[in-house]
Amino acid sequence: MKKIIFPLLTTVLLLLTGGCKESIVDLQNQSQYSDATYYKSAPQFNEAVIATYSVLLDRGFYSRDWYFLFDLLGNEAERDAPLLGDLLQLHDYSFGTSHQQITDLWQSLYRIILRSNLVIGKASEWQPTLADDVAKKKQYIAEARFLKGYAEMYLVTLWGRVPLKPDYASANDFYASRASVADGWKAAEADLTAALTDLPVKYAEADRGRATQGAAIALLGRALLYQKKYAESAAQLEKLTKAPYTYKLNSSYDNQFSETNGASPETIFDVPHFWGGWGQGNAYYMFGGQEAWGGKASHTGRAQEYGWNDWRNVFISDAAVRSFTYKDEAGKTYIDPRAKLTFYGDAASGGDTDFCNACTGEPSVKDRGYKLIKLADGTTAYNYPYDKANGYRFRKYEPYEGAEQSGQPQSNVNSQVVRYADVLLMLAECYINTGKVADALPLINTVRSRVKSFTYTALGTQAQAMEKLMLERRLELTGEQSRYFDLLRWGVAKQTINAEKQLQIGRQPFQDKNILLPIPQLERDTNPGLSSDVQGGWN
Amino acid sequence: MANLSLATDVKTLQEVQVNIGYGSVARRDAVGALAVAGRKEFGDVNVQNISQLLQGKISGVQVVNDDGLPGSNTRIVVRGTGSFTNADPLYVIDNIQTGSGEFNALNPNDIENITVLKDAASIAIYGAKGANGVVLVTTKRAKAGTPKVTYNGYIGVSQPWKKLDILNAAQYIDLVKDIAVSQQTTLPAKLGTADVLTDRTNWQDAIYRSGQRQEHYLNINGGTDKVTYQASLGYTNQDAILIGRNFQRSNVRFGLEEKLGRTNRVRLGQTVNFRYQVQAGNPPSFIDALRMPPYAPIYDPANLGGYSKVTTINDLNDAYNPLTGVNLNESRYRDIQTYAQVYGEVDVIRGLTFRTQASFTFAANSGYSYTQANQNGNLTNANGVTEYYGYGITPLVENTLTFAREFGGIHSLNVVVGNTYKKGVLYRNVSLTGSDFPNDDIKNILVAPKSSITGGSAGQDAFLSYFGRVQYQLLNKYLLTASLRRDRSPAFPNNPSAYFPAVGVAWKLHEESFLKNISFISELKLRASWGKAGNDNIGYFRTSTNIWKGQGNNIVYSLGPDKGYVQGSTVNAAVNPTIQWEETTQTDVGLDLGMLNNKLAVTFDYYNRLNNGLLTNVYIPLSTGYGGPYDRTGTIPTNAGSAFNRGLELAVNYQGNIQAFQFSMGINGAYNKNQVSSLGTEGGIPIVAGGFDGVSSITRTAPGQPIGAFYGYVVDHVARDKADVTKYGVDKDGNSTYQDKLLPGDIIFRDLNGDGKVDEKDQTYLGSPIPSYTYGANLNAGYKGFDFMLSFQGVAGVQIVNALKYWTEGTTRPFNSSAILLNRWRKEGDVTSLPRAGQNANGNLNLRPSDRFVENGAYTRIRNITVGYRLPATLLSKITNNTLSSLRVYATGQNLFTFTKYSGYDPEISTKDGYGNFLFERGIDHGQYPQPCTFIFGLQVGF
Repeated sequence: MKKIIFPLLTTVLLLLTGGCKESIVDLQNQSQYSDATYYKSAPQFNEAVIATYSVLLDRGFYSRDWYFLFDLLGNEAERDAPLLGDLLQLHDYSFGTSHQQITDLWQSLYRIILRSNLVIGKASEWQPTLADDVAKKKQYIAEARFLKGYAEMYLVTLWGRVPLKPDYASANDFYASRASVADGWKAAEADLTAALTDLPVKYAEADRGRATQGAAIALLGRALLYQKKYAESAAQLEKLTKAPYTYKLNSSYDNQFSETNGASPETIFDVPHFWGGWGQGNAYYMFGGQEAWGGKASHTGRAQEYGWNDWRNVFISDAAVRSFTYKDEAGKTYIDPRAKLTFYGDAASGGDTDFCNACTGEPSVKDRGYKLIKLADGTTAYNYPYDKANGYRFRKYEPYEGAEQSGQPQSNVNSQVVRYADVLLMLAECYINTGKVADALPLINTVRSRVKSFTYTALGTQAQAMEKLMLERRLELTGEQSRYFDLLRWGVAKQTINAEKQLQIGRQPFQDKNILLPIPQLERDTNPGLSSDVQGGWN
Repeated sequence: MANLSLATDVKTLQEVQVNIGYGSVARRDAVGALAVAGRKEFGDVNVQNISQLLQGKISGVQVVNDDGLPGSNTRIVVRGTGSFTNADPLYVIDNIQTGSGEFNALNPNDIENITVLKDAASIAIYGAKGANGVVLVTTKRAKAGTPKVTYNGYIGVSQPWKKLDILNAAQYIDLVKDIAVSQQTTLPAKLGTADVLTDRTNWQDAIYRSGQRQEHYLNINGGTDKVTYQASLGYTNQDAILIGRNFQRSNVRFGLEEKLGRTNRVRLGQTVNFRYQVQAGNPPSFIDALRMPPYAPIYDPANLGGYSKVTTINDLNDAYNPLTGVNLNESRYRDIQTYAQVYGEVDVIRGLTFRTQASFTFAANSGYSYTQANQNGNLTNANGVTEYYGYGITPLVENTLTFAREFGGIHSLNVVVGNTYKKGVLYRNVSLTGSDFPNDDIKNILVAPKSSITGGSAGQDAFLSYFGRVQYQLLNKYLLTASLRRDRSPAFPNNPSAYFPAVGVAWKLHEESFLKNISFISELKLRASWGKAGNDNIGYFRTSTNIWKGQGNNIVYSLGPDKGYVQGSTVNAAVNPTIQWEETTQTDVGLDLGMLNNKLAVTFDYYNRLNNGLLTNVYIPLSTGYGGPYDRTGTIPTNAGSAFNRGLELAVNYQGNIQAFQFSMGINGAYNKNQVSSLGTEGGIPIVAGGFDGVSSITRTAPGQPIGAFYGYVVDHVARDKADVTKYGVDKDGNSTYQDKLLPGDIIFRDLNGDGKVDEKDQTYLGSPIPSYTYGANLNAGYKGFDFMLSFQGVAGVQIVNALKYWTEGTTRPFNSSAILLNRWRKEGDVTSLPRAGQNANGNLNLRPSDRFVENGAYTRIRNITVGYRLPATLLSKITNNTLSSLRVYATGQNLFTFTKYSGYDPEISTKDGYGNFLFERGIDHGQYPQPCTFIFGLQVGF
């Protein structure tokens, strides 16, 4: 027995341990690729660029939070009762340092920077030989720099001194301290300048939605304008009015806020939205489901959330409504035609008094106090049930001309980031501020005549011209998250908003500190390089 | 079974062989701090899972229930919180190391005893896996003889032991009006009608119920000298105390053991455990039940799905009807696990034994959840199904060579060397979603017109270790044990191997002549040990950057005229190539004292466990851009610093009898101090975590404090009136200069640093989520055929953050709330501790992190009271014509009484899934399903 057992034992031991070489612990990741080997060819680099764009749909951005944040902060939207919780805090500036949407925006802006740095870092190491790939490499890096410049521009505008992340390697420098505002602008300008050099003027149709050279110029012009570098800004923006660029105003203002606005010659850069159904996505993905439980989706919730016949979280603010009524050059009260295109209301306000002009059949909602009416041209619509509760409501970006209700968040109307009318008005602002008031006149009139507003014969003094320009931006860009930035730039945010809020809510909530957003508490809790450099517990 | 043969020869207790991992020793020869709980300690009672057998039974061992739903898991915490990444101990079933999944899959009825290894000398043999203690499970062995059949079964009913007192309809409307005033909100027309003053639904009653439960267990075993066999069958069916959820578990177990050769020199064993369990239905959210307006009915035929809804437009309240998601849903989550063990043991030459053992786990899980189209709150939900399918395979092999021999009664030696490895471990799973079903007849993704993959993962695992241990005993008085283990882990490609040494000594004083004459001391042993263990529990592939495409590849952007989705990919996690093993160094000094012929046994231990290079994921700034979609910030894996647990453990057991009255008592208690001693180089900043709802954080982990200590502001009082606000300082506009936006009715917080204003520097430590004291006691008594058992368990020196208060007392927006809000501040001059309604959620207003949320988490819970009666054997065999050999009936009440000051549902708080980790976010009650109170009636029969 002994004789057998020893050899047997040795054999068994060898068999059993023979299988366990030291290398058995060298495992391969079976679920994810590694960045060391993944980014080697064009399709993968394209993915990295797409992921950078997709942050524009993430928390803080155009799927939801962006429009609430800046329509409320800019007092273009005023809360209705259903607006509750953290969003309600925006309307009276009562938010603190851990406000959800502000924190999310900060994080997403930095996420754009990380992702664009990844593209720039990895694609720079790429040595393609095919001509097509060489062009793509240039384009991808330029797109990344465009998005990075965009992010830097909004960080420095909203928060002032912010940490900068120059390259992909700096992603591992976690505890960056705050750079000066000047350095922040420098970084934004450098990235946008580099982007506009290498971006194509136009893409193939299948790539519609990507950043073009024109988009980079427009944003650089905006960045320069925000810094009051009027001449430099004008130099950029002027380019867009000439060949090779073919931008022009959309003949239909309404169409610029419709599901087909992506094809508009006025669109310079927008965020495309598309709801592909429950089979692949979740209609409510904008509530933090992005990249998580939300499935595949890119639509925006605005129509549903703002919609007076849906969740009606907000009114268009009384101040915004009032601005559409002003004096013409003869001193007579004038209601701007854009009132009808921008909001629903009563006849006196100039707002649209009916809706559902392209709907069919009887109203399905019975208790909202509207009914089918016959219009003068023989078509039908429902009367907009204006009263105190319904008040003035956004029409722009809403589906109500073609549908009675939105029903769920599913708007496919692309969000405007920068459009040609905005460029013309920015350029006019540059001219006015460099004393070329006369040059501004045709630009403003171009914008006005598209909607058949009366045209100015003259803009008056520089101050008068600026006043007209300010009004024009407000009328043209209501509900496009432009006004808050305009007021900050013009240095009139506190006085303007407090005056408007005094009438609306009986208080003047805008404090000096509100010129900047608070540094998010989470950033302060995790970044020792920054936390000692926050003034007044705010920014 | 014969648990009440208490007064048997108590000496045997000391001679009992206890498992020490890769071997066993007589209890009296043990060098380490280990504790055994067997059938007697468990009591003849029924529990939902194995861990609960240990609850309150062993000093220094805390059992934390994940929640009170049937089938939910538990965590065993040995000697406080050690590692940052994971507090789970290593589980070893019948000598083979395994995972918590296998452990939780065993039927508690199949367990003979559980040993917990606590000190370094004992756990070091398990090296990298042992840092949080080792739980050794021994299952019941078959006994040779004619087949013995036993049946255990019970039926019972569970009930919620507590409901919260909330507002009625009229009171709720009052609250909504107050909130509307504070927030300048126009009330919707509906809230002005008399209709909303009618109480229609008690939402707590609507979701809670009495749950039926039953269990049946049948065991057959027997055999010859050479072959023994056993088979057992178990079946459990439990309804949750919340509607909709049911749990069923079936266990089948077969075991064979063979002995070969004249002297039984070859021994073989095979065991197969099979477990099948089904969780059916989704439990309702009781947070929603608390938030729903009392005036809302349950049903509304006019609403899609047939259940009522409330909306912000009509009600200013968008709580979800908690019944919609339960009653319009059909779901089944199925788990199948087969766990097989085999071993072979050969006595090679005298004293030398070779053992090889292997285990194999095959786990398959799948589930589906189908929800009908419905409208709930503000949302319109389409019909749809989610399904998932997965499997995992885990083989493991261990070989040991043991040499044990005595030399002339002077030296006794036991040497073991061995290896263990896991190889070929793999798992795969995928989750799917389907939608656009034409109707609700078929609830299967295969008929869904649209479907897509939403996620999944695949992976491997491996592990390789060598170990050796020497146990030496001189003159049956002096004991020495030393061990060394080398582990190799996939977690650290740049640093895969680590060595873990340990040494322990013991001195049996009672064997010395100077103690032999002292008759009342039957045992006195001093023990000391020192050793190292490790931890590699940080996940794999954290040293290089992985590509992230979103959950189910959903990072997409729309391009082109059709705006089709184009796939994106990027990186989202920071990596750290330098991470390495975490090391635990533990010193233990102990004493075992037996008196009165060991009727009274006392065990005392002091330990000091130092964790160095704690592995953890440290939060990194938002400005890095890193972080997954579910993370508040990105994290980086790192060896973050060090912490210690120091403590004392005491266990006292007494057993005796007064004639026919037999009794035994066991009391155990432990004190533990957990403290972070340093934070590492990665930022070296306090770890701030524990945010909930609108509160950004409430824990802070920093040197000098326990891990995950609560941190925030201190409430002073609620400002009574304008004068009270003014008193603290106001500017020319009347705005408070002391505290941001302070108005009458708001909470005035304390200015701790005395600089005249309340800001973040006025925060302080508010308590610890880790109990300082844990204790338990068991009392068994028997008189003739009657038996009685009582056990209780508790913790003290611990705090809980009652995060549920954010909803029940936060008044951030109109939700139904706690009835104590009737005492809220409502007008100038009110003196109360509850602030005005409707000051909104905000990082620096009334709902800032503060002691407002922190409550005393101490509790004592009567776990079990059992009264049983066993029919006399003679009578029984007479009545049943020898068919039955034993019959016992019993009644048990579980969790009958809980003594606590905690105002939430249940002070037994774990960390709810999806709410971060057990370390930095422990002790925060987000609304955990409470433990039920259960009455059962049971029957034990021997055939």
